[in-house]
Amino acid sequence: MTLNLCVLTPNRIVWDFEVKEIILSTNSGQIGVLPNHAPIATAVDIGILRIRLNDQWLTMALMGGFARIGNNEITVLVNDAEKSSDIDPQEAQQTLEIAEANLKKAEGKRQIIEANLALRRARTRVEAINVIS
Amino acid sequence: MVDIDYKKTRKFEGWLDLEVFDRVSVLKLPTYVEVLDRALMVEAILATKKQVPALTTKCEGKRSGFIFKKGRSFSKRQNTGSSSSSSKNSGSIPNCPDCRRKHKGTCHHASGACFRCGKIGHMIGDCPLRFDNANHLAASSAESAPDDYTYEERPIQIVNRQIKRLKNKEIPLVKMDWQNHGGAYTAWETEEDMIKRYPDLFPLDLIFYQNEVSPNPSLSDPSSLSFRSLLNPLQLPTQNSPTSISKSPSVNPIHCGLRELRKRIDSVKNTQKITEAMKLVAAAKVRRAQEAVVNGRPFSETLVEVLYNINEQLQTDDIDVPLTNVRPVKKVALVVVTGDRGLCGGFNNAIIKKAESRMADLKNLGLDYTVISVGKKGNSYFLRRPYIPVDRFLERGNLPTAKEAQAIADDVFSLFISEEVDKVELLYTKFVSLVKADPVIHTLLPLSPKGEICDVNGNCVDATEDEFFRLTTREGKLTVERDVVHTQTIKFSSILQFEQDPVQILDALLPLYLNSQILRALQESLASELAARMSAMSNATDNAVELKKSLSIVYNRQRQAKITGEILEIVAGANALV
Repeated sequence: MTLNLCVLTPNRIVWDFEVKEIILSTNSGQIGVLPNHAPIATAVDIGILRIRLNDQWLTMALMGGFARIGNNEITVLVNDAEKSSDIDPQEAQQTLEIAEANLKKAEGKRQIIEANLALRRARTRVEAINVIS
Repeated sequence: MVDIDYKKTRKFEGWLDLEVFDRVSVLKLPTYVEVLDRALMVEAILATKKQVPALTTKCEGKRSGFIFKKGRSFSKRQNTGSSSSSSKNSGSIPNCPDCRRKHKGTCHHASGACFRCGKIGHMIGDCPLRFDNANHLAASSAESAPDDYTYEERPIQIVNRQIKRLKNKEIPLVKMDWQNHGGAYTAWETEEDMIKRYPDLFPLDLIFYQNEVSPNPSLSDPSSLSFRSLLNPLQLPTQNSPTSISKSPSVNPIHCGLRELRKRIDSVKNTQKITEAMKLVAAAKVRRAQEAVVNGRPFSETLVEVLYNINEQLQTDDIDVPLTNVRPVKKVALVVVTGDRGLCGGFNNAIIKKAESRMADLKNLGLDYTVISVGKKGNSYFLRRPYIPVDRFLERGNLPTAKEAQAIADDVFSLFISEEVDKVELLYTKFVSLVKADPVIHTLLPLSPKGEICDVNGNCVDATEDEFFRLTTREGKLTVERDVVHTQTIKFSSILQFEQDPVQILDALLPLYLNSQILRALQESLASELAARMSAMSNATDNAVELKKSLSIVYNRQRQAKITGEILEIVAGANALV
C-alpha cells in the first residue's frame, strides 16, 4: 500500500507525490502517519512537516491549516507552505529577529495577537531549515 | 586627326617653363599653333615685369585701398573722402592702352598677374599684401568705424494684436513691425516677452499690469508718455486697458492649418497605438488572472468539501468559534478593494461610490466604521479625505496572491478577535462578464458556521457553488465565460475521527476559508478591473480611429483646396500674361 500526500495552498499545489511516512505538527502535538492510517481530520498548527521519501527526510514549513487523512490519502490544506530548500536562511533569520523585536514593542491586544502570529511563522521557517534529520 | 593635334598641344605645354605653363594651360587652347603663340607672349610679359617690380608695388598700395572699399559697400560712407581723392587722381592718369583703365605702372591685364604686387600665381583678391593694407586702413579710420557691424534688431511699432486661446489659458500676442525689414517682415510675438524687452512700445498701464512689483518711476512721467505716443502714432488705438483687450471678442474659429492637422493626426495615431496596446495587455492579464483562479481551484474545492462535511456533522452540536461569534454590532470594518491604476472606465469610481454610500448608511444607523483600503486608487482617495477613518492602507501587486490575501485576513482577523470591530464587510467588484461588473458588499466576519456568506441584502452565496471565469475566443473576439461549478461532495467515511475538538478544527478551517474568500474577492476585482480597462481602451481605440478618419478628411479637403487655389493662381497668372 502506498501513501499519497497532497499539500495545497490557495495559490498552487505544493506537493502531490507518494511518500513513505510523514510527521505532521497538529494542534495537539506531532503525529506520525504511515500507510493504512485510521481516517482522521485534524487542525494543522503553524509548524514543520517532515516527509520521508525512502530514506530521505524533507522538511516543509506549514502556516497553519487543516489535514484530512483517510484511505491512504493525506490532504493538507494550508495558507502557505514552503519547502526548506526554498527558504533563504539569512532572510528567514532576519524576519525572525524583526518579529521578536515587534513583539516586544507590541501594545494592546490586537498588536500582540498580530506579533505573536508573525513570530510563530518566522520561527517555523527558521526551524524548517535547521532541522536535524 | 584632331586627336593627334590635341595630344601634341598638351605635350608641348608640358615642356613649357612652369610660370608660362601656369598661364597658358588654363586657357585650354585646342591647337598647337595657338599655344605656341600665347606661350611666347607670356614669356615676353614675364621678362618686362621683372624689370619694373619696384614701381608696381609702390603704386598698387593706393589702388588696392580703393578696390577694397568698393568691395565692401557698408564701409563706403566712411571712406568717401579717400575715394573722391582717388577719383581726382584718376583724372590725371591716361587710360592704359591694354585694358582701357586708368592705372599706374605696368599693366598686368595681359599677364594675369596680381594687380597689387605684380606676382604671378594669385589674383588681387588673394594677395597677401592686401590684408596688411586692409589692417592699415581699418586702423586709420578707427575713430569713425564701429567695432562691429552688427546692429540691434528692434521693433518700431505694434501692428496688430491677437489673443490666442488655449484650453485653459489665453496668450496675448502682438504683431511687431521690425526696424530693418522695411515693413515687409512682421511676426507674432508673445506680448509678455515683448513688454519685457521693449517696454517703451507699450501703453503704460499694460506695463504696470504686467510687472506690478516695481513700476519704473520714469515711465510714469506723463511727458515721456506723450513723447512715446508721438513716436508711435499707430499704437494709439491700442492704448486702452488690457482688460478690454482680453475681453474683446476675438472669437477665432478653430482654424487648423495643414501642419497642425498633420500633427493632430499623428498624435491621434499615437494615442490609438497606446490604447490598443493597453487593451491587448489587459486581455493578456485577464488570461493570467484566470490561470491564478484555476491554480487555486484544487484548494478551494477541497476546502469547500471539507467545510461542508464538517458542517454536516457539527450541525447538531452547539459550537463556539471566535470567528463565528455574532456580537451586537457597534463598529464595522469596511475592506474596500480598488485598482492600482486608472484608465479603466468607471471601475474605481463605482466601488468608491459604493463605499461612500455604505458609510453614509452606517452613519445613519448610528454605527461607527473604519476602512481598510486595498489598492492604490482607493488609498489616494481616502488619503485626500482625512475625515474618513482608515485603519490601514494596503497595496496589491500585479496578481493577487495568498500572501496579500493573508495580509488582509490578518488585519481583519486581529480587528475582529480583539473586538475592536464586530462586523467586517468586504466591498469588491464582482466580475459578471467582460462588459459588466457589479460592486458588491459581502460580509466576511462573523463567518456563518455553515460556510455561507450572505451579503447585506441577504442574498446567500452557497459555498458549494464556485464560480470562475474563463477567457475564450469566440468568432475571433475575446469573450469571457462564467461557469458555475457544482462541486460534488463526497461523503466522509462515517468512521472519520476528529483528532481535536470539532471547535478547534473549525477554528483552523475558518481562517483558511476567510483567506480564500479574500483571495477570491481580490481575483474577481482584478478581473473586473482588467475587463473594464479592456472595454475602456477598446472604446478609446474606436474613438481614435473615428477622430483620425474625420481629421484625415478635413486634412485632405484642405490640401485639395490649397492645390486648387494654387492652380487657380497659376492659371490666372498665365492669363494675365497673355
